[in-house]
Amino acid sequence: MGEAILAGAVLTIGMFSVIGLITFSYRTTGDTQDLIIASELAQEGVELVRNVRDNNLVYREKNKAGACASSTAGLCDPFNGFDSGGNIRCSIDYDGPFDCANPNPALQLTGGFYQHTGTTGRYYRVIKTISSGLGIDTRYRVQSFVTWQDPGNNLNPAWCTTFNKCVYTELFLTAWK
Amino acid sequence: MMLSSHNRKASLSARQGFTLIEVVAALAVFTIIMMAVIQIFGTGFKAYRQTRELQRTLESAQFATNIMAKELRTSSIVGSFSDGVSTRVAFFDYSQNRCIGYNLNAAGNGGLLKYAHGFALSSPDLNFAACSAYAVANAWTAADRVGFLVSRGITGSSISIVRSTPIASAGSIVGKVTFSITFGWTSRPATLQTTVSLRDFNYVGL
Repeated sequence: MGEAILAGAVLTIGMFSVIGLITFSYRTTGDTQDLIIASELAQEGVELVRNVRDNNLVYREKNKAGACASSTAGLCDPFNGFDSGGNIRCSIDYDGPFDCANPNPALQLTGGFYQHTGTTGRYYRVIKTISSGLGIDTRYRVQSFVTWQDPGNNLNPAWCTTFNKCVYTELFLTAWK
Repeated sequence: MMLSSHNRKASLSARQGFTLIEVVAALAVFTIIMMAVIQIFGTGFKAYRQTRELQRTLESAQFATNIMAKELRTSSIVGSFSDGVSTRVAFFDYSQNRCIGYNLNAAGNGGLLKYAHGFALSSPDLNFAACSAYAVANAWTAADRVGFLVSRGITGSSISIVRSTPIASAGSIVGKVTFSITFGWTSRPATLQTTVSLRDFNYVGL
């Protein structure tokens, strides 16, 4: 009787181990998948902001003999539309404007692309910009955070770790190309 | 020495085996347990294979995304191929002096195919205009094929192209390319997406 119980216990432990390993493997693959997708979306965030800056530079260059001859503000500012404080959350779509007034962090797959179309989603992206310097020396630090859980108000470099299901990237943009 | 009748009976009783019913019951229990074990291991192995396949596709898709992004960043966009299929993009990469094309949904097998048109390196026509002329006028052929960046597993793809236009033109802009690649299990598909802001400032006139 004792031998039968022992054999049963060994068999049960063995089977539960296998099931546990399968579950762990499945979950790890899912986490890796989220991490890679989030990394690409974070990189996309800074690229989209760079594109806004580059197009502002193009506008200034195209109008340097006209509207931008005596003005460096508004549309003639390479950082037109940027938030200078660093505390405001901004969002940007691949085909939309840089929105710091009514940002929407949630990303949903719409028409084959991740877009800020809904209020919930698997991924959330927030962009923050912080300025320093003046005139031609003005530069912006652009930070793009992506999480795969609702971020609340936690998005900052100290909080944004893979432990918290978050990745971020940053770049510096100057007032010249 | 002779054993007494009582001792002989006791010895025989101690050597008695299992009854037929006991053996059948034990076999039945053993069979049921083994079938369960085989079922669990089979399911586990299938899940392992699927996970490994997904992991490989994920790594390939990330590799392809990064290669494409790196090449697009230093390029001017021609547009789609001559056939106008929307999941294809042709461009001239200044950093490599190459006319490159990508087919994000290669016919039938869910692969991502890369082409590079074979201009001679010494050719004086090796520029964006020549690349545009070639891509617009010709279907990319097997001779142009570099190979598959992802050989299978892609279930969907999308590209959004905004071409750069020179400052002298109306509506001058710096272009960007957004592309997404979908792969993975039917029950839980995954989409990898990124955007590249073009750096073809010389073409734009910045």
